[in-house]
Amino acid sequence: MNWPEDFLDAHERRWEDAELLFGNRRWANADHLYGLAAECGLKALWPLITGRPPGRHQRVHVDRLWDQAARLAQGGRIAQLGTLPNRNPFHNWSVDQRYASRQHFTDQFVEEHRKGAEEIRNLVLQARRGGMI
Amino acid sequence: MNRVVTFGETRDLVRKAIREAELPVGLEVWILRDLIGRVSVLLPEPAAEPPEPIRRLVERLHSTLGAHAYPPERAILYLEPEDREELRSEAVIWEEEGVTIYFLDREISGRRWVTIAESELAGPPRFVLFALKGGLGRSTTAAVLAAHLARKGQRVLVLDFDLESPTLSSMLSPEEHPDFGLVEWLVEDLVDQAEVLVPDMIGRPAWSMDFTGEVMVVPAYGRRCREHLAQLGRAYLDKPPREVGGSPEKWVDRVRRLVRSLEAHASPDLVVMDSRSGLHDIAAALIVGLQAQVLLFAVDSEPTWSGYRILFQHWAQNQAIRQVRERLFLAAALVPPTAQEEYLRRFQQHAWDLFREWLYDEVPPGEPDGEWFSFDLMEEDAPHTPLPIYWERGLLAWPDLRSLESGPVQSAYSEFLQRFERQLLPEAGL
Repeated sequence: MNWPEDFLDAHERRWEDAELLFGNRRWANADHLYGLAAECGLKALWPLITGRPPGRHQRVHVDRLWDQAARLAQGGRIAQLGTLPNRNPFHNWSVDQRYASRQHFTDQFVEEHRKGAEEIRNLVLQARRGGMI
Repeated sequence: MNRVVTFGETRDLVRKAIREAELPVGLEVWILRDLIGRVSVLLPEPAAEPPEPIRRLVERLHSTLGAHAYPPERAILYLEPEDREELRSEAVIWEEEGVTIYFLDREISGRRWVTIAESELAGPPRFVLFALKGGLGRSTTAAVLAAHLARKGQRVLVLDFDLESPTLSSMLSPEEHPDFGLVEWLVEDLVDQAEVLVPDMIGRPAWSMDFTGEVMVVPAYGRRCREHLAQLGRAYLDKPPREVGGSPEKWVDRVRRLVRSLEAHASPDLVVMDSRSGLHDIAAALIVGLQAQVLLFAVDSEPTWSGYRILFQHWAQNQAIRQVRERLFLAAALVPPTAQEEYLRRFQQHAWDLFREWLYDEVPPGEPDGEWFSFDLMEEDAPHTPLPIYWERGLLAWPDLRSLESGPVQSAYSEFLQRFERQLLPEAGL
């Protein structure tokens, strides 16, 4: 069944669940959800970041999407929100890691992705406070 | 200090890197210069490995651009082919030894100086008064022009877009100010109720009541304004999309809507707009975002000519010169009371040097002049031949606009007004 996309809600539920898992040291699934939370947050903010409507980038996951957002960013809205760090914290994250064994996911590995997701989280909150989304 | 590559060199160095990489003829190369001024190469997904020529280019960029390059392993940005295609309209395109380069620049001001408005079929003629700095008599000129044309029967709509330091608004006494001004429109538009303000945005000065035409002034802010600074802090916002997934409306498009809405309500014969001075977003929106003729105010000084050179060069680099150059005219402001002819002759020479370098076509030998946008130094009514405004002590204070036939307004402006009617408003037959 296909429900309409709601990137904002999808971002929030992934973030909240990732935090629950992280707090319980469930690193592997927390890591997966941080990546999805950041991806959905970027997609919710996409028009504010790039000044363009959402496009085909919707098929892309956060490991690629972060660079697209950071480098295609333009316009006054992103300046008001605060720009994305140019260094992509998800460069070593992949959606395919969901099939990998939990032994690969260390707390440092997840911590970097948590910080990245938190950056996006803060941009989303700021955009909401400013009435921009 | 070690020699570093600075932002201003990156565009030329990209060209150099492309030449040196010896790319195959016919290749399309997409270059992105992002907000922090670093250069990436855009490739469409999915590409397992970048093709060899692009790898060479990436290495070249890395070795020539210094801090403005990404490390080679991060220098390529992959986009869905359709996403890249959508960026084509934003690119500046040029050829370099058979290679076509699509150059994309990201700025926080949304590249407003180079998005040139298409011509509009309907609507009154519009005139924008612009200066690189304040104090050249722009607002006084707008007021004199409006008063003069209204006396000759024209219905003149005057907009004070100098939102941070509105002067033209003082054509209206405090009691004559309408309830709302331009800033209120821009703020209420964010909550979709700007249109109800329009009937209460126009003030008519008492001194213009017995004119055959009409002077209709829209001030920067209205009489009911209580929070001008809090409004200014919001006025320049691009309008957020109403629904998730929608596109924001660019500020320049909002300004265009504002001007059209006032025109539809007031049905003027012409519109005079006072721009904020300096290379500010307001000026960009008015000069290139609207279909308008632009009077560039200038004094004969090096800072003035360098300032306009920056603007013209930017248009040239972004291939916007041809769309904008036919709208530009010069006003010689504050022409000094002594040695006027000599001053204007020097002014015209310097203006011609600048216009010839950036705006005018170079006519190939043997070609007839007629087809080209090109003017001789002493040509009357050429864009570089200034409309003169003479300095008058009596104009240090706001002038009495009831008496234009005598006094300081007459001596300062009579030549300007004649030239304006002849050159910028010929259809009106005044």
